[in-house]
Amino acid sequence: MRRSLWALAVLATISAPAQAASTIWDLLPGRTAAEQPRGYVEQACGTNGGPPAEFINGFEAFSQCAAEPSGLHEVYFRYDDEAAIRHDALGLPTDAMAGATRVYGMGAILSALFDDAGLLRGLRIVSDPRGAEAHVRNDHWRLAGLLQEHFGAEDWACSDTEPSAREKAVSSYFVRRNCSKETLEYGLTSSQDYFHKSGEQFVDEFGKVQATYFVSTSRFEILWKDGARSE
Amino acid sequence: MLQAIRTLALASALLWSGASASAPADGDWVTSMGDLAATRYSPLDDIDRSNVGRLRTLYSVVLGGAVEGGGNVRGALPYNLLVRDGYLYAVDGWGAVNKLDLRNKGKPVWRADAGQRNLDTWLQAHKGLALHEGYVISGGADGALLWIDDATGMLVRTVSAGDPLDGYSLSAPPLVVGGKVLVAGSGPDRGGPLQFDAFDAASGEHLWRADLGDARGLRGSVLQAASYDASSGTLYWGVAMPTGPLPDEERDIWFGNGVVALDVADGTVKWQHRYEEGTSGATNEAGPYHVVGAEGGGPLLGHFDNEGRYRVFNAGDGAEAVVAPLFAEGAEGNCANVRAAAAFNSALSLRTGLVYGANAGGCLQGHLPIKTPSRGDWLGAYYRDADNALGILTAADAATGEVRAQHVFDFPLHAGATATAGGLVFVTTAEGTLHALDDESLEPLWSNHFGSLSSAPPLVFSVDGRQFVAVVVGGNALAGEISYRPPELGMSEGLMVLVVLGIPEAAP
Repeated sequence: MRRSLWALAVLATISAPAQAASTIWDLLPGRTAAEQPRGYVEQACGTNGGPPAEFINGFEAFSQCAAEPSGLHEVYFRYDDEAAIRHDALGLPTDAMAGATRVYGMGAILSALFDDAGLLRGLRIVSDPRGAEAHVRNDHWRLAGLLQEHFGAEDWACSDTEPSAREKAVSSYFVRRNCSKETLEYGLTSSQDYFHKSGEQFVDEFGKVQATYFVSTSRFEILWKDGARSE
Repeated sequence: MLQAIRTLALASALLWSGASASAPADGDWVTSMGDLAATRYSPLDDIDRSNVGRLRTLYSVVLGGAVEGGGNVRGALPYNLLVRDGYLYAVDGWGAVNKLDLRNKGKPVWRADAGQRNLDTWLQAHKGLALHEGYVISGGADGALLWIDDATGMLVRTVSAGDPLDGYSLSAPPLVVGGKVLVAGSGPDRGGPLQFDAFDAASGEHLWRADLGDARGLRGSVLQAASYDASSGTLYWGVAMPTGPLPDEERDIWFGNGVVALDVADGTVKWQHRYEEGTSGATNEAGPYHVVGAEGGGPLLGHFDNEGRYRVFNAGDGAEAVVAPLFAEGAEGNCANVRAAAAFNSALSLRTGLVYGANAGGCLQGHLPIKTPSRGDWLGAYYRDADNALGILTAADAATGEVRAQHVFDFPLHAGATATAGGLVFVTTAEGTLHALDDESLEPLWSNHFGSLSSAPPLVFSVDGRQFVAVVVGGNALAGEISYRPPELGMSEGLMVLVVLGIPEAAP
């Protein structure tokens, strides 16, 4: 009974909306790599939330990726946007929600975390600065906040770090916030950064605008606990 | 019908008179939409159809700022200019508030940059101002309201309306009604809480926050100042969805696309209307809601939606009275043409009883041959959705939505429309041309190209009895969406210039 409740609870947070391309919300925690939905492409060994390393043949080849210290194997993946591109090329109305690998409209590097048995145990979501215009990247620090709210705004334990000598606020605001939340079903960690590094400012000493001189990142991890399994 | 509209406008004007120590003169432009009913209508008529052809640039003023800055600065054009007692107030591209002396060719009086230093990336495109007695009230993208002394430009008071770390942002201009500063906070695409708050305009004291009836707290984007019906004491705010995708189970947390009606006295929600989700995935209904008088009944709310329709609501209970298509049948899909950004303000003429929707042209979807003023012949190519690069101005009956006239421009209308008692509608096309059109036939009467992009709505005002028209050129946050770039669009100076036009005075 308890196991069933867990499963229902997990399904309540990670459901499967009917969209053309699969998204992170379609993944099936506790299920094997082979049972995961289709609609993801370019699986590769992950680099702790960074760009892909060696490409592998789907989630099923997870064991080709070395285990992290946690014992989990990180598999990078991307949404399959081929249908959206083809649709667009034909001039047909395109669902703006489909296509690019975005979470809450922000480019994201996604990794699925599998245990040695090939069960999906975690998900890593890191804001992706590649190709993002400055005004879009400017909001990337909020991605983790949106994900926090997705899992319920309550019961987060957060700590804010003061700026170091090499960091300063972007205008009035400095964000270096780490948060975590534990439930019976999962453990969540979140980090947000938004600041200028040493020497960075939007208007340099020559009066020239430097639009890209700022740090704005989010990192969010979901680790499902033993017993969490989608039905 | 016309009489009813005039009556309603008078009611709004009377309320304004009662709410402010110094009632605005007819030639002032004291709210972002010109008046409390959000008409973008000027009662000035010295510049009319007979003499608009003599309109000339009288002077220009360089405003600070950059088109390509950090954060959202590219969209930080001074959309919401205000004029009071011969002074113009503008937020420049750096986020600073400027006061210019219109009796002295726009000479700067002061520039207040407190709270917005160093190209603030929290700056949003729609930052605007409100005026109350001796204060200029600025809404900051970091959730702070700033009270600036009108005489000195010194920051007098800062009041936080929400926590920016939650994504909260003041993305719409404030509005002052009856001594209250009304603000809507949201944080478009940042997931900030959807909040409607009132503050005492004199003291900054928080007066109320509307309870939208969902304990979880709703999210949504608000991009415009409220419109206000003085007869019922009701505020109306449009709300939009974020541009990014949402998990299905979160959709009910987001308010969605809709409109909220609040009691100005205490923030009680009188009604709320949520649209069905649009087909384009980019539906955004945060555009203006005009308070329209109705013959033999209560006032109406008129709104150009983002799917090529004009909608009319009963302002009293939110019942939808009219949904009128503005374009040919079959052209509505993927038709996000009536953009809801602050720069896409529609106008309501109290002279004609018509509303004017300034569109970006997507409703004429198709594959069109490319022609421009620079090359009148076919340029040899068809562009898919190239018609998105056109602009369409629609004049429709404010109460019924019946289309009376439409005019297609070669370039998008990334700015709003402004109607005047002189029988004119002013619009600005994206490549930087100000147009004056007949407010009934939409026949073009005059235009002037300023040589750089523009997305700021035209402003009409008078100083010491003389009428002027002003426009800001020098940037266009939406220019990147234009699919075709002829020479007219090649210039995008990182300099924002206020251009003031008028009829030259006869030589003595």
